[in-house]
Amino acid sequence: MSGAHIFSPIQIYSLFKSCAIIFVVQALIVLFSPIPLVDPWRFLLLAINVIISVILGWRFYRYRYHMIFTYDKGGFTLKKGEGKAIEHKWNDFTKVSLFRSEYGELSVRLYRDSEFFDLPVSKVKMNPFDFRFEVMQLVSSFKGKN
Amino acid sequence: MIAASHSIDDRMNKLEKGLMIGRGRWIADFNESFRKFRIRDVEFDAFIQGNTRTRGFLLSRLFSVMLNPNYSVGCFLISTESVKHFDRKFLSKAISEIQSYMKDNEMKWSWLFIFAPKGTGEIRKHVESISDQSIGVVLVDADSGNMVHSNSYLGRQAKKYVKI
Repeated sequence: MSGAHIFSPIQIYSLFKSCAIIFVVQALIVLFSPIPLVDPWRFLLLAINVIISVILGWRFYRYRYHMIFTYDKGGFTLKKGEGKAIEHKWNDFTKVSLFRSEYGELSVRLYRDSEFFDLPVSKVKMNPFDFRFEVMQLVSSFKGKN
Repeated sequence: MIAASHSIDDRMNKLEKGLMIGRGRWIADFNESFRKFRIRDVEFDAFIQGNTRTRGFLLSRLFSVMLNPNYSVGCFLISTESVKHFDRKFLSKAISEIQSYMKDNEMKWSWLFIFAPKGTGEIRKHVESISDQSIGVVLVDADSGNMVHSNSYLGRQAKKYVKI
């Protein structure tokens, strides 16, 4: 993509969730293992657990949740974690709306007949209200050409 | 004219943003907004749709599911400046298009917000005389933000809960 805009901010909530998952898994392993939880071991174990949670949590976040959104005049690419990137052209769509999920996250919804695709713009720290207008222009710019 | 036009856009954006982030939640949960929304010959500047089952956390969500009916509702926004001749005839046509859209989409009720600069005496009188109970019509003075509502429960509620 030439002249592309790239958005890939760290999503604090997802990062915290990843670290918390690793922390809980380690805590359960410690609880059900025969390691004696007495001083000074328990504080040392807790410190090790926290450090490992941060390191593995970061890796897990990058693997599972981190989003990279790239767009230009022709289309966009959305990649979540190590999953396959989703690519679309703006002219694949005919209608644009702004949608709020039940968790309060705003996304730009792109319609193609009765199907739709959500661009999670608030997750990539973009202004959904302004970006919606930009997408409307990009989508409508192809209408006359088809 | 340019200043008034900016003011109308700002007020419209503010209303849309307010409804989308949950300012109208005591009435309905508005969750999807379309711009340049056309129903046959009438193009509205915005249409925000939602339902009467409000969101919330645990207890409020449980109460909502158990007590609130899940009616589909909508809010239409139109500026007098985006229409060539905004008069009584056009307003009646816009309302009848909304009614037909509501019927087609099984919507229970709607709001219609009309944003106008000063000097809309004829429209003001017409808005005050509207008594359709399924549509709440509100005329917003873009300069001052003052609102005049139709003679219905929904009109009064719009003025009470929606801040512009």
